[in-house]
Amino acid sequence: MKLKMKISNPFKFDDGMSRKRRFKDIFRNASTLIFSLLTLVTLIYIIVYIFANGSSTLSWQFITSDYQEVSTSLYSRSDLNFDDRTFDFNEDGGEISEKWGVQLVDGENNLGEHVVYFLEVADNSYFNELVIGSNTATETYNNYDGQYISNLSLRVDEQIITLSSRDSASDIVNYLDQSNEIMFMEICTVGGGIRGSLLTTIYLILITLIIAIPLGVCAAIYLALYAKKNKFTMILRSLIDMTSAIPSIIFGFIGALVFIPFMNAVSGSNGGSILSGALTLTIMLISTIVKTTEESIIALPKGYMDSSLALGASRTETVFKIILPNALPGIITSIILSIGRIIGESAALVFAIGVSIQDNISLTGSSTSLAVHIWSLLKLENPNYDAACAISIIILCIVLVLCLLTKIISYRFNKKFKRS
Amino acid sequence: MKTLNEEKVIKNSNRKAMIDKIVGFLFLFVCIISASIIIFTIFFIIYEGINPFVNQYTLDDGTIGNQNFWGFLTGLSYGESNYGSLFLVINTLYVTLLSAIISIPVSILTSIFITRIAPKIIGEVFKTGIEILASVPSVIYGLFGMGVICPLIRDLAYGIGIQTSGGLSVISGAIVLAMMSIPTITLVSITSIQSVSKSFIEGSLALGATNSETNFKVVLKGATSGIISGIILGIGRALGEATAVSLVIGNAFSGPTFNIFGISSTLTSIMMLGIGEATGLSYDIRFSLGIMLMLIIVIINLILNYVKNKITNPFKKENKVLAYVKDGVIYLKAYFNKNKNNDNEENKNETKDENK
Repeated sequence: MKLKMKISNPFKFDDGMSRKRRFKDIFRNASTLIFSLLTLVTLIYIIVYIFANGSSTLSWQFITSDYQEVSTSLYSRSDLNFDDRTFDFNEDGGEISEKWGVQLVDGENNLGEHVVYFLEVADNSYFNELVIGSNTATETYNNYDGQYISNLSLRVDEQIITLSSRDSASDIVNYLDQSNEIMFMEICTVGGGIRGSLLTTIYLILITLIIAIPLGVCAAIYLALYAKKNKFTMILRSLIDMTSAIPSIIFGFIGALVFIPFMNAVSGSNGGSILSGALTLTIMLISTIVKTTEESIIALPKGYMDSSLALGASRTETVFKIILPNALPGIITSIILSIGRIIGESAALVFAIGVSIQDNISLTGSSTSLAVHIWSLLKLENPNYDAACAISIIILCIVLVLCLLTKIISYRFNKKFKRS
Repeated sequence: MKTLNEEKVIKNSNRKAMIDKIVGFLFLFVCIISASIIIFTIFFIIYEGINPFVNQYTLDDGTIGNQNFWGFLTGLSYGESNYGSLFLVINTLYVTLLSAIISIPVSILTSIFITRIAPKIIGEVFKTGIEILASVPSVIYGLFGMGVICPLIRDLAYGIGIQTSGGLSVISGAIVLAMMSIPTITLVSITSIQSVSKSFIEGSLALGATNSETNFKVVLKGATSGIISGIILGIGRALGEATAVSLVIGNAFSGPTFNIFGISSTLTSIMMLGIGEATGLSYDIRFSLGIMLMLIIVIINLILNYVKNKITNPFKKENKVLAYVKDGVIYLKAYFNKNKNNDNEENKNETKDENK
C-alpha cells in the first residue's frame, strides 16, 4: 500500500525542498493529532450524552421497580363520615389535603411522564378507609407507598370531576378538599423499571459462565499442553479461530433453531428462555475463552511443566496443581471478557431469548437482558431515550470497571512472568 | 520410614497413567466439541436457509407457495410477494464501504499518533480510551446514533436543502459502523506498528528522513500486513453488526439506495425487523439471508487476504531466499510459492525492501 499524501503548496513560494518538507511534516503530524483527538472526543461525547440524558431517570426506584404497572381501583363507602380529626405529617414538601389527610407530590414515572405520587398518607387518614372496588367484599386498602394516582373521579357539589395523573398535585388536592366522596380512584405502582431485565442479565452471566468456562478451559489445556503438532490440531485450532469471526446474529439463529426447541422439549418452556439464551451465549463465547486461556498457559515458563513431571507428578496432577493455578489470571481475564460480552450482547439474544420484557423471572420463562431492553425501548413508536440512557449508564459503568480489572490483571501477570 | 513396595508403585503409576489417558481424552473430546461449533452452526443455517425455497408455506393472501430462488437472488424489493436479497447485499456492501472510507484513515492515523508521536503518558491515555470504546456494547452505539448522529445528519441535510426522514439514512449507518470498527482496527494497528523493528526506524532517520516521513513511509509499510488484518477484523464487525444498524438505517423495503441521505436497509437490519411477530415464510427467510451474510463475509475476507498477500509478499510468484542479520545472528529466510509466511517475517522482508 503506497500512502502518498501529496499536497501542493497553495502559496507557491517554492524556495527549495526544506520548506515543502517542513510543511508536509506539519501536515502529517497535525492530521494524526486531529484524528486521534476525534476518536477520543467521540468517546467523551458518548459518555457525556449518556450521562446527561440518563442520570435524571436513573434511581434506586428505577433499578428495583417492575416494568409492568399494577393498578388497584378504590372508592369511598357511602357511609363515610367526616369528623373533626386532625392529621400529623412527618414529611413535608408536598401538597396537603387537610380534609382527607393525604399529602401528594408531583413527580415523574420511569417513562418521564408527569404523575402525582402519594408522599404520605396519615395513619388516621380517610384514605385508609377506602375499599377495593374490584370485589364485593368491603376490604379496606392501606398500602399507598410509592404508588401514584392514575385516575380519580370525585363528586363535587353533585358534579363529577374526573382527574388523571396529568393534573398537578395542587389541583387534585384542591378538588379533594371540596369533595365528600371518591367515586373511583385508580392507583398504580410505578412501572418501567428494569428489575426483571437486570435479574435476567445476572442469571445469563452465571449460567453461561458455569457452562462455558469449564469447556473453554479444557479445550485450551488440550491445545496448549496435549496437542501434537500435526494437521488435526491445526484444523481444530483454525476451526476455533473461525468461530470468533461469525457474527453474533448467526448464533442468535442457532439459538432460535436449535436451543429454543431443545429447551422446549426438555424443560417444557414455551418459546425463548434464559436457558436457551445462556446456551447460545456459551457457543458464542467458547472461542474467546479458549484463546485467552491458551495464551496465558503458553506464556507460563516451560520449566513449570517439565520440573513437575520430573518430580514424579503425573500429567493430570501437573495440569490441575501447577498449570491451572498459575494460569488463573488468564482464566479470570477470559471470565471478565465474557461478562463484558454477555452484558453488551443484543443481536443474538433478540433471537435466542426474545424481546418481551418481564417481571417474574424464571429460568424457563421468557424475559430479556438489559441490552435487549434498551433495544426494545428504542424500537417503540416514541423511543424512550431517557430510560435507554439510564440503562446504558449501568452497562457502561460495569464495562468500564471490567476494562480496568483486565488491565490490572494483565499488568500483574506480565510483571510476574515477563520474559526477556 | 515408609518402604516402597515395588508392586504398589507399579500399580500406582499404572493407575496414574490410566487417569492421564482418560483426562487427556476428555480434554480432546471437549476440544473437538468446541471446534465443531462452527460446523454445527453452518450446517444448521444452511439446512434451515434452504427451507423457504423447498417447503410450502401459507402466504398472507391465503395461497400456498414458496419463495422463488431466482427471485430471492435477484429481487430488488423485500415484501410479501417476493423476498429479494440482491438490493440488501448491495446496500450492505455500500454501507460497509462508506464506513471503511471513514474508519480506515482515522484508525491508521490514530495508531501512528499513539505509538510514534504522542508522549508515552498521552499515548497510554488515548490507548485506554480506545480500549474502552472497543468494549462499549453495540446497542449503546445504536442509542448514540439515534440520539446524536441522526439529528445531526437531519440538520446538516436540511442545511443543504435535502429532506431526510428524521436523519435515518445511509450515512448515519455508515458513521455508526465506522465508530464501531475504529477501535478494532486501531488496536490491531497499534500492535503491528509496535512490532516494526527499531533498526529500520533508526536507519530511516539516519538516512535523513524526517520523523513524519519515517512514520508514513517506513513504519506504515512495515506494519501493512498487521493493519490489513485489523481492517479485516473491523470490516467483519461492521458487516455482522445488527442492532446498531437497524436503529439508524431506516429500514427501507426496496432499493438499492445509493443516495447517502436516503433510507436504506442491510441484510442484518432486515433480519432484526419485526422480530417477535414474524412467523412462517417471513421468519424462515431470515435464515436464507443469514447464508447470504456468511457468504459475503467469507468472500470479503478472501479478497482482503488476497490483497494482503499481494501487498506484503511481492515475492510470491518466485522462489526467493533472503538473508539478513539481526543481533549478530545471520538469518536465512526462504519464500516459496506455497509457503505461508507469518506476519513478522513479511514485515521484515517488506521493510528491508523499502530501506534500500
